[in-house]
Amino acid sequence: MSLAPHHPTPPTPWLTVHGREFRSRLMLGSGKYRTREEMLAALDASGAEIVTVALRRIDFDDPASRSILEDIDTSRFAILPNTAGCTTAEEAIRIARMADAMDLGRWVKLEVIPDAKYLLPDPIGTLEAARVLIDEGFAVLPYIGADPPLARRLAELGSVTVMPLGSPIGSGQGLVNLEAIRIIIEQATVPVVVDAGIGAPSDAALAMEQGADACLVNTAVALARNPALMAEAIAAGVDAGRNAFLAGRIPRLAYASASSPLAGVVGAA
Amino acid sequence: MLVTDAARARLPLPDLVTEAVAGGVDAVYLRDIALSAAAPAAVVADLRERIGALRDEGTACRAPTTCRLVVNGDPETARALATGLHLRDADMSPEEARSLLGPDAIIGKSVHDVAGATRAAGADYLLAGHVFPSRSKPGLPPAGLPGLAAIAAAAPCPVLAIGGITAARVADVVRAGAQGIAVIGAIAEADDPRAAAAQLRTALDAALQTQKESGMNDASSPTHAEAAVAFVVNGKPATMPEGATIHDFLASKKMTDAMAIVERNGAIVPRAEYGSTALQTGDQLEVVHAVGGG
Repeated sequence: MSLAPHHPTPPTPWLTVHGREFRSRLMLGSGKYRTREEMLAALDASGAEIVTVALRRIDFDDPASRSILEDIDTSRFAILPNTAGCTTAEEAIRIARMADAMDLGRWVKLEVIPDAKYLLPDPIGTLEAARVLIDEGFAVLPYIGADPPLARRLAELGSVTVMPLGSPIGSGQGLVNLEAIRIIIEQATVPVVVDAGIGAPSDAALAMEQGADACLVNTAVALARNPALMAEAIAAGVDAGRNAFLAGRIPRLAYASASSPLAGVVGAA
Repeated sequence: MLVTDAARARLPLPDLVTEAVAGGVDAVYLRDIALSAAAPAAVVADLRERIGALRDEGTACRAPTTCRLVVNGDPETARALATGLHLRDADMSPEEARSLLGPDAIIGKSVHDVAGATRAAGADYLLAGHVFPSRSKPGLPPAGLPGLAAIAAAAPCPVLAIGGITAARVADVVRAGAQGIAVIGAIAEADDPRAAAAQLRTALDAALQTQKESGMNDASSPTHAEAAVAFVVNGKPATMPEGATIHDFLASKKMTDAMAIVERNGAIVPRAEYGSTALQTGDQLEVVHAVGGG
């Protein structure tokens, strides 16, 4: 295969939402960047098509307060609003409806997170909010713990993806939940996006090697010394992992299996 | 002030009162409590405990530091319940009640006209109304804002406007001379009594503040009293000239309609309607936009 200067866009879409097709398997968050310029450079280098945003009150006392959508080219990137900050289903539903008023497409990355220390999502609140929002015609992309039965329930409800976490948000711990994520992937009827905890390209590659459909990364890029370079590196990790999954990994063996012929070794008896 | 009416409440009395106080009500007239409750003393004690618990919650609610309870009936009932006494038009005079209950008792009286107000010497407050057409007084002609103004001018004590009061009308009744408001349905029949009470409280505080400022500035700046709407944006008070729309407000903050999402009193306002949606006194706005997020 050819090594394009940037990652080659895979030919087939892995996700279709309200008729819009997505091919890039790296989704990028827009939070935590030190500067607007670093964020835009990272978005550009990542090849991402989907960029997540949050909703917050406008601070009318701060003249510099502006919408991030004034910075991002929304004709190029699909903007996926999240419900970060919501601790209950009711709050998440309210924020999703407000996000819908932005005319970004009726979709939402659903987060219901009552726990401030580990930022682990509430499965029951997430399921309740997903049910209401799906009924209202939202495409729901729920952020969940790596919980296979919950992933199945959300898929059965009509979620367009499930997004299990590798490890806590922003922790960079990698795929602490790898075995559970593997089960989610094995049982999946909707695309699986590994979201949260990815700290390096190797984490992203590992997720994709298991058969994950995509990764969502924010902190690892935003807080890297060079966000654009890290975005490019993680995108390459995603592509490498995806290609490895398609190519088929060899089984693990307990003992060695020589790579060179065993016959004809010089000096053999 | 919340006036209770069991027939119009959606919640049981203790819950309604607690929600109303949490929203900012600072006086409750427990109308007919001595008639409707089997054990009025227990009801009052329960309410006091709930209101006390609200205050302990601190910032979670807007409970004022004091919430006065008044009942109607004879002075003996008020004494037994340790509440204030509210006198209806046909009841004894405030002076007579005062002579029975002493100088510290809270005594209020309902009045419907200037003559009633002039007979109210000795009262701590008057309920003046009904100002607007009210479901409580079907068929009876309302006093209107001029009637309220006349009562307020003749009253020996602060006047609370009652009858058809809504958040949008608070500024008008305060301009007419009311120093407070009393409501039944505006809170009791609301889907969310706490939110309704908070909205009224916000509108009343803003109107009283505006009234105070216009009083101070009347001599030097006659244009200052120009009508304004007072509302709350993202938890902070704001004012705009009367008739201003959501678009006008955003423009005053150098914001375009395109970037802001507006929720007004719990309902999202479609962007196309920003220019045609006039702000009302008491409105609660949440205005959000997209920020960086993961």
